[in-house]
Amino acid sequence: MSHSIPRRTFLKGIGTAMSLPLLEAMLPVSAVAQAIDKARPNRMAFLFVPNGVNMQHWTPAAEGAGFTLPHILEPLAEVKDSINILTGLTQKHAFANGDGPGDHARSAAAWLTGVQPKKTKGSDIKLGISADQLAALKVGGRTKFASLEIGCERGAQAGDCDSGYSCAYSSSISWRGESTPVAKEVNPRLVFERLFGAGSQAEQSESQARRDRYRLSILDLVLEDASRLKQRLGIRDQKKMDEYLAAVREIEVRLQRLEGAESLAVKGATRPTGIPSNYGEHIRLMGDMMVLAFQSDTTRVCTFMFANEGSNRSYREIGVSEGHHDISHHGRDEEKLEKKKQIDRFHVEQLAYILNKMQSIDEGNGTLLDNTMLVYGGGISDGDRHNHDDLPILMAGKGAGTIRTGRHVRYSNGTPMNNLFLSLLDRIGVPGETLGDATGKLDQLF
Amino acid sequence: MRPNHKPVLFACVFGVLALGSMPPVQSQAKPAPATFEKDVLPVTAKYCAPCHTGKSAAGGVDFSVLKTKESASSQAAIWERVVRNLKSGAMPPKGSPQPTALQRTQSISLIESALSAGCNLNDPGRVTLRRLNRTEYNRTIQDLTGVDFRPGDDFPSDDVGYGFDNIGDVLSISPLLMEKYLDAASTVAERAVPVPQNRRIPIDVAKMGLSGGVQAVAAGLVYASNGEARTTFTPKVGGDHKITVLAGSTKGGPEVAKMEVVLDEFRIAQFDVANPMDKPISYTVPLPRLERKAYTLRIRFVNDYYNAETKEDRNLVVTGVVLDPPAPMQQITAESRRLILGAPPVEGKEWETAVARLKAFATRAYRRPLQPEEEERILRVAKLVRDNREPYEAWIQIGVTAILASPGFLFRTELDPVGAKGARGLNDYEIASRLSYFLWSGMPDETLFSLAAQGKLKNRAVLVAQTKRMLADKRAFALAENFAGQWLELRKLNTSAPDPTLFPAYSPKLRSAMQMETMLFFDEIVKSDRSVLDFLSGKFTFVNGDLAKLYGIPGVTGEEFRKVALPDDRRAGVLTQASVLTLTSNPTRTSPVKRGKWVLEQILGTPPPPPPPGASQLSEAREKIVGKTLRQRMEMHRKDPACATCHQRMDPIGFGLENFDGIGAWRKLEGDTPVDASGVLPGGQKFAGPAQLRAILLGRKKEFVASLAEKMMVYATGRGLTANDKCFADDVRKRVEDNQYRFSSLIAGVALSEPFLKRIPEPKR
Repeated sequence: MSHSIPRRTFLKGIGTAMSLPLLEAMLPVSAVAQAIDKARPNRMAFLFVPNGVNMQHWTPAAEGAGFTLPHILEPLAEVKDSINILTGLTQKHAFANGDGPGDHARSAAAWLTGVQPKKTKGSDIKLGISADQLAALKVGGRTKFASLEIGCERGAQAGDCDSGYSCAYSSSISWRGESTPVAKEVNPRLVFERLFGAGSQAEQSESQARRDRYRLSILDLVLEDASRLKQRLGIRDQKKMDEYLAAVREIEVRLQRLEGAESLAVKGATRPTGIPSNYGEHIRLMGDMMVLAFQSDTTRVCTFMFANEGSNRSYREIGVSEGHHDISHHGRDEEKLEKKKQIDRFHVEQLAYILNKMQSIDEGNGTLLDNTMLVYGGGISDGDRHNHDDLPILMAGKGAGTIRTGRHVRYSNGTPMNNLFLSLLDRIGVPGETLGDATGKLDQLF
Repeated sequence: MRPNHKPVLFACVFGVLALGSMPPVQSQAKPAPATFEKDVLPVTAKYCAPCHTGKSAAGGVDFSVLKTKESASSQAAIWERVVRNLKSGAMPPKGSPQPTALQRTQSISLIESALSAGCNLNDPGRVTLRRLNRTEYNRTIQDLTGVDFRPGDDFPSDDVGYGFDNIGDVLSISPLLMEKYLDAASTVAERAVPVPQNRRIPIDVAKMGLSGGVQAVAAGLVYASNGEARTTFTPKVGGDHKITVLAGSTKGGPEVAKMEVVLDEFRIAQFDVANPMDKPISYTVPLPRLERKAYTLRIRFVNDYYNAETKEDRNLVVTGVVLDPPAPMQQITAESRRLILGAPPVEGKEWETAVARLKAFATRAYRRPLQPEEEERILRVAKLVRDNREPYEAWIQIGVTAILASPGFLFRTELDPVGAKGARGLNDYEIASRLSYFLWSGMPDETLFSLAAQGKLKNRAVLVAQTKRMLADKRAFALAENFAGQWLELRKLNTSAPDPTLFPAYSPKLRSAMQMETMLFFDEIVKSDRSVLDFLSGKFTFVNGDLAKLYGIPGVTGEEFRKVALPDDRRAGVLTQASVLTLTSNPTRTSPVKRGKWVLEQILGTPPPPPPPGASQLSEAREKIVGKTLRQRMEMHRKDPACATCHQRMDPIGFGLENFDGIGAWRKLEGDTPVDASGVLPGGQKFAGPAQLRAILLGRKKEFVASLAEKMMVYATGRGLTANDKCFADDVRKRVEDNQYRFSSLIAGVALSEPFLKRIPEPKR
C-alpha cells in the first residue's frame, strides 16, 4: 500500500490556511450563491400524504382560473392564487403490472422515481433515482445541504410492510440510487441542529474546535479504510461500501465548501425541543424546518412525508379514532368516506400553514413561496381502489417566475407524473427531454 | 373453470394453511413402490395444471415448470407451497375436481422426500455485509467504551426486511446516517477519553498594583528591594483553585530570596526562590474552596539583601502569575479508563503507550486482529494530534474518534481469503461476532475474544457451551427485546392507539407494561431453558399492578413485575397476552381477521396472501344494514367467493379469541350480546374458546417449531432464507424435537447450522 501522507492531512497538520486553487467548491456559501445566483434561487419540494384522497372533495369542478376550492382544499383560500391543481397525472409504475398486491409500497416508491420497484422483502431492493435527488445532484452543490429529507413517521419497526415489499419502499420517497433510499429525519430538534448546529455552549467550544480541526483527517482515514476494504469484498458487499464511500465524500465536500463560511442561522429562529405529541403540531414544526432551510438557503431541495405510505395512525385531533389505512378502505361507506375527507382536509390545513408562512417571507424579489416549486399529494388516488391514475396532485409557488398559478389544470388521464418532473427539473437547472416514461414536458404550467 | 371462481384463485391460491384440516397420513404399503413420476406428476397435471398454467396462471403459479422430479430442487419454493396447500386442503379449491385421499397423501409424502433430497448441504449461503443497526450500535458502544450513552437513538430508523431490522441487504448508509456516525464518534470519544481542558486564567502582571521596591518591566516584575504586587480577582466557579507564580532570583548574602503569597491578608505560602532569574520556574499554591467573590492576591519579596562592597544583590523576579480553576466536571469513568486510556504513561514513554492503547482499542472495536495498514492509518492521525502539541489524552481521543467512524467498526466484516472458492468455514473471530450479535445484540466479551484467539470457537462442543453461557447472561435479554419484539411484533404496539373513550384503562404506561410482560415471559423461557411450546401454552406470566388489574389477578400492586401462575385456562402462552391481543386489534374494536392472520403468520409461519386489489375491508355500511353481530357480519362477508378461501382460515382463529377485548381484557359480553368464541376450521374441526383453540395449535407443533426455527435463523444470519436454507432450518426443528423442545436446543441448532458457521465467497467485481 501507499505510505504517502495525504495532502490534506499534512495541510491540516501544520495548521496553515488552505493554499489550494480557489475552486467553486471551496468558496464560502454566500459568495457562491451570489456568484451563481444572478437570477433568484428556485427551490423544489415534494410533500407526500399516504392512502389516497377522497377525490370527490379534492378535484375542483371547474377548470382554469375560475374554480372553487373543494372542501378538502378550502384551507388554501389565502394562497389560492399561488397554487395549481393538476388533475389527471398518473404514475403507471405504481400499478401491479404483474407484481400482484402491494400498492402502498409500490406507490410511495414510484411516486418520485417513476420506476417499478423490484418486489422483494429485502434481499435485492431495486428502484431508481428520484426527481428530488436528480435536482440535488445538480443544484445541491450551491448550498450547505444538497437536499433535506424529513417526515413525521419513522420506518416500520417490525413485520412485513406491504405484501412482500421491503419497508424501505413505503417509508422513502427519496432515492439517491437504485438501492439506496435517503433516510429521513423525524425529530424537528435534530433537523434544526443539523441545519444550524447544536448551539455554542462555551463549555464545549474547546472540544468542538478539536473536532473541527481533525474531522477532515478522520474522513481521509475512513475513506482509505473503506476503499481498501472494498477491494476485498464481493460484488454485493461492495455496494454497501459504495454507499459508505458516497456518504463520506458528500460530507467531505460539504465541509470543504463551508470552510470559513459564516453561520447560516436565521434571525429569530427557535430551536425545537423534540417531537410534539400533537400530530398537527409535529407536521407544522417540520414544515417550519423546511421553510427555515429554504429561507436561509441551507438547501433548495426537500422531501417531506407527512406519514409513511399505508400509515394506520389515528387522528384523535379531529375525532377520528380508527386507523387511516383502515378508513381509506372505505368500500363506498358514507361514514368512512366522510372520515377520510376529514383526514385529507386536516393534512391540507397543515399544508396551508406551511404555504402561508412561505408567502409571508419577503425575499426582495417575491416571497419565498413565489421562489419555490412545491408539489403536494400522493401516489394513490382512491384508497379503496388503489389506483394510481388521476392522482391527487397540487403545486404551489411560482417557481421564481416560471409558473403561472391560480388554476385548475386538467390533463388527459394517464399523463405521466414524470412529465411534471421533467418540467420542474428544467426550471431548477437540470435540462432534459426524457425521464422514464415521460412523454414530454408538462404543458400549461406557464 | 367456473368464471366466478377466478377471483378466489387469484387471491388465495397458495401460501394458505388451513388449521385442523386433514393430517398427513403415511403412505400405505402397495405392490409397486410409488414414485414421483408415476404418482405425483399425473396428479398435479390433472388437478392443478388446468388453472395454473401459462402466462395467466392463477396466482402466478405455473405448473409448466413443475413437470420433472428435478424441479423439486430447482423450484423448491413452489413445491413447498404445493405441499402446504395439499395438506391443508386449500387446493384444489372447493367446487373443483378433487384428487382421492390416497392420491393426496401419497403426493404429499413423495413431494416432501423429493424436497429434502433436493437439499444442497454444501451451500450455506451468504449474508450481505451488515452494518450495525441502532440497537447493536448502542450496545457495542457501551461494551466497548464503558460510556453509558445511546447515540443510536437519534439515528434514522433501520429498514426492516424479512420481519427483522438486522438484515444486511436493507441496512443502508445515507449521508444523514454518516453525519450521525461522525458526530456520535466524536461525542463518545469525548466522553470516554476527556481531555483536561486548559482553562487557566493568566493574570497580567503589568497591571498589578505595586508598592515598595518593585517595578514592572517588559519581562515581568522586578523586586529590587522588599515590596509587594497585588491584584484582585473573582473566581468564575467555586471550588479548589491553584495559583502558580513563575519566579526566579539573583543570589546575594547567606539566604535565598523568599517570596510570599498572600490571599486577603493571610500568608498562604512562602517559597525559597533559588533558581536564577533567567530560568524562572513554577511555584504553585493550592487555594482551597474559593467562593465566587472578590479576593486580593499579593506577591511579596521579604528578604532583600544588598552589599554595596561586594555588590551582592539579592532580588526577586516574577515573570507570570496564573490562576487555575477546579478540574472540569467531566470525569473519566473507571470503566472507560480501564477499557481505553489506562494508567497515565510513564514520562518519556507517552507515544509508545498511546500506540499500545490505540491498537488494543481498535482490535476490540473491529472485533478482529488489526490489519497492518489499518494500524498505520490510525497512528498517523494520532501522531498528527501529538505533533500539534495537544495533550496526551487528545491523541487517544482523536484516534478513538477515527476508529469509531471507520468501516471496520461500523460494519461486521467477514473477509473471504483471496482466491477462496466454495463454502468456507468462518474464522474464530467471525464466529465470536456472529454469536454475540445473535444472542446479545452486542460485541463479543473477553471470554469470546480469548476463545477466538486460542482458535477454540470452531469446536462444536465449545460453541454449544458458549451458547449456554451466553443465554444465562443478562445480556441475553436482547433476544427478548429484539427477536421477540419483532417476531411477536411487540414493537408495533408503539404505534397502536386504542380509542381512549372505549378503553379508558389504556395508557402509555399500560402499553409499556404489556410489552414488558411478553418480554419477561420470553426471557423466562430463555433463562430457565423451558420448552418452546410454552410460547403457546405456558401457564404463567409476569404482571405488575396495572396488568394484574386488567387481567383480574388479585393481590398484585405497584410497578414491579412478578411471576404469577395463571389461575384458569382463559390465558396461557403469548397468544392471550394483552400485548398481542392489542396489537392485533383496531382502535375501536377487536379484529378477528388481524388476530387470525397474526397466528397464521407469526405462529404457524404460513401467512395468507394479501387481499386482492379492490377488496375492501369489512364494510360497515353492510354491517349497519344487517345490524347483526360482528361474527354474523363477517360470516356474510365470507360468502363472497373472492374472500372465502383466505378468511375461512383466518377468521375462526380470531373468533376463538373474542373473549378478549381490544386491549386484551376478558369479556363475556360484546355490547349486550354474549360472546361466542367458537369456530369451525376449514377441515371441519370445531372448538370453543381460547383453551380449545390453544389445544389445536399445540397439535400443530411441528409447523410452529419449524416456523420458529426459520425466523430464528433469519434473525441469526441477517438474511432471508432460500429454499435450500429451509433444509437447514428443518434440521434445527428436528434438533428441538429431539431435545424436549428446550429453548437452548433451538439456539444451539441455529448456532451449529451451516448457514451460521459458513459462507460462500462472492466473486469480486
